Amino acid sequence: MGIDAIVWWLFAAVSVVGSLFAVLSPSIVRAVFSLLLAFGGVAGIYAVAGADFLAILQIVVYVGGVLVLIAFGILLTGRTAQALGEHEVKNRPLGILIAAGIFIGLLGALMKSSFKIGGNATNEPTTEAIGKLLLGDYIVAFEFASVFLLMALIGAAYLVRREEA
Amino acid sequence: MDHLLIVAARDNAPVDYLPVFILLLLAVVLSVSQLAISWLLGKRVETNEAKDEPYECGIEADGHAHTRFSVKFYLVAVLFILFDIEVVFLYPWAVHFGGGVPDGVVFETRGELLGFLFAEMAVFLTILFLGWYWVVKKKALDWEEA
Repeated sequence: MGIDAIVWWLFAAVSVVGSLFAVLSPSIVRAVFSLLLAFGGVAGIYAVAGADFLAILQIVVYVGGVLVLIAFGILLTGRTAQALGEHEVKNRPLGILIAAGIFIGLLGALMKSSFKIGGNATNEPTTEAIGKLLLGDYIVAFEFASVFLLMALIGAAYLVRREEA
Repeated sequence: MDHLLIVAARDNAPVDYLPVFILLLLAVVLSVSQLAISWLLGKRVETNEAKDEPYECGIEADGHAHTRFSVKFYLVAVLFILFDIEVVFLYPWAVHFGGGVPDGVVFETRGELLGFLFAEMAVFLTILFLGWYWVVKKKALDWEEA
């Protein structure tokens, strides 16, 4: 087992442990911070796999963005029994059944697929190639992305703003 | 499970990340060692009810820390995410801008390529800052008004 495989297993362990804590922690705030660990581990796996842009994306969007949104969501929901970990878990057997079903489905798909690396796979950094494509062949999509972001911005501001008297 | 390791077993992939891993390792070692040292050398303090209060003296704490916050915080969070995603687009653009080589077909010189890239990003940023201007004009970020 080479050093890269060891590092891969290390990050895999970090993300699995983080996810387990996130699921099992009764306190929602602790679950969010455990999710941070899980997202960080996934970013590390991306980096080991040579997908450097994806790793950065994972950190910027998931660790930096999605987690912040979840944390703000907790701020807004306020004091509930769920947030404080005082609620009783209902429907546990059904939940386990559904989770097991999804897991078996994913595992089956994973085992059936082949993860062959095509002839184009290299260890070259991907970021510059992505930048080149984004500002070359996919320039329209790139500019439209800013329009979509603008739409989301206006939508969010509209939803939150006070009713004008 | 073998196929999962194929990605990890490729040659020299993590070499570039060695400094990052060293940094991660140092961060973990530093934080763990400081906690361990203070746990080993520190004085054990007996806790009691008063010690566990947020403030040991003064007015007694009332209510709970988990109160609901104004929805305005949500707008701040959403705005942060949007500009966060903007950075995602800036990053490959910046790398391409820094190392971009003209292909000789569309762009003859490096100056032409950089000019085009600059104009594209200017359009991108202008569209987003229109939204920012609108938000500021709408006073959506104005905290003063009751």
